[in-house]
Amino acid sequence: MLSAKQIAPGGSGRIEVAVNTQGQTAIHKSVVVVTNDPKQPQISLSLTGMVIPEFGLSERFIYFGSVPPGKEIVKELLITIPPEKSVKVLSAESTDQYVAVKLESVPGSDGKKTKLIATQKSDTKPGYHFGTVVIKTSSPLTPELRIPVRGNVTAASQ
Amino acid sequence: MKRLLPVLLAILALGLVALQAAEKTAVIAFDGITKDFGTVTEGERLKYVFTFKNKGDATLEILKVEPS
Repeated sequence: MLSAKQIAPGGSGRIEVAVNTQGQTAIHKSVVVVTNDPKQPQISLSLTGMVIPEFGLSERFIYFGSVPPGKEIVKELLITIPPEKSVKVLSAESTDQYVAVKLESVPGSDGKKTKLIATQKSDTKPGYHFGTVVIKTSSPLTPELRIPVRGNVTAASQ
Repeated sequence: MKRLLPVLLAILALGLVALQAAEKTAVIAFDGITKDFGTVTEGERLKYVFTFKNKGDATLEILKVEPS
């Protein structure tokens, strides 16, 4: 955002730059300013930085694989909170009706490590199924973690 | 005529110098052109303001500001 397009001699101006860090691991942003200054017709403004996730995930998705009917499959995922962060993992739900989820705090981690246990039910109907595990947190920056989940139950004859 | 020629040339040269001195230009001067945020947490919405001055004697025009 530019304060003014024309600056009188002796005057000053401002350029405000916004950076969204969602989904980023680093900041590498450049803004080009074009002016009528004959010695500096083009200036590049640079913004840098490192982005660390508020919640570490051991896996970014859960895949149960292709399995025969009647089999229960369990997958685990670890959620880690950096020591200096005071946020918490609150709850987890699955949008896939064939997947049940629960959270378990890792003993001795002082609440900084939580295990998500996802179970593909034994009565899952043959065919592909998919959904999202939504983990709610106490963080205003990351109120939800969304993890894709999918699986395939092969037909009985296969 | 031969005596006049150097005088005419001198007047012409002085005129050109005066003309150049009268030309005004804008001069943009940023307080800084880089910003390192260090380590930030994913999800944070960051903002930074770059300030600049016109140190020239003509109006500074910002023709375009765009991310690259």
